[in-house]
Amino acid sequence: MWYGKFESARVFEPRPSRQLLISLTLLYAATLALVVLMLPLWLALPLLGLLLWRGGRDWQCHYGHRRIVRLVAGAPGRWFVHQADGIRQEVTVAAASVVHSRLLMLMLVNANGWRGPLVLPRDALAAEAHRRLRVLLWCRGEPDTQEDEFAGETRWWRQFRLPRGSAGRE
Amino acid sequence: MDAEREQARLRWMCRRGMKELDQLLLGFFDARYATLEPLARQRFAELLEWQDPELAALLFGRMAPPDTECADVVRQIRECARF
Repeated sequence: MWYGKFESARVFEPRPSRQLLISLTLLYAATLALVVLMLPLWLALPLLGLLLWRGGRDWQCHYGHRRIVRLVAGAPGRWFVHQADGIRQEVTVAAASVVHSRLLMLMLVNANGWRGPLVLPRDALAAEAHRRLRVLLWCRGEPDTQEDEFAGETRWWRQFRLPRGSAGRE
Repeated sequence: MDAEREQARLRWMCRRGMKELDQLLLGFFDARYATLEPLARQRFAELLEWQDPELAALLFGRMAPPDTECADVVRQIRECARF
């Protein structure tokens, strides 16, 4: 395989998540309802178009041809993703990623600067694989990129972020 | 014989309530414990006496190790988990 030189590469194969589908559907339905009911027509129409476009994009990312079907942890700091449409690329995991026992939200950044989230609720991976990925992310220490978009975040939120610390830095 | 019994005891202590720790500690014990220096073994055994929440905070980088020997063992455990 193209990443085959990493003998101990770790492979995770997310499946479409029902929890994520329900959450996104509720979120979009509530937003659409709010826009239609609360705003005047001249403002609601462009916003509806924007929301529908964004919803379609999210659908493609999580359930359509751009869905990530395989995530491979290569050498430390190197991650590889395979999309359903066959595209494969190397990415890094940004500091904005969230690691929690019920939810993994990895902010992936590729070489061109494209950023995209990989959201993995508990039902997106087998329980053991979800745990393995969590441990791997926690033990990798500092995130692969140094940006900190949530510098002002609360302490409560910060506990779910990838850990920092010299112990984990290669 | 005593050494074997001690190893078996430590391996048993690697089994924790928190499965993430289970995976981390058992993986390290099976892969690296035999190659550790006596001092590092002692520090590892001391670590196993910690409660799960504190141990998780230490191993997952949310808490600083209390001393350099402990930091070295923690570093080795984390390295082992990476690959």
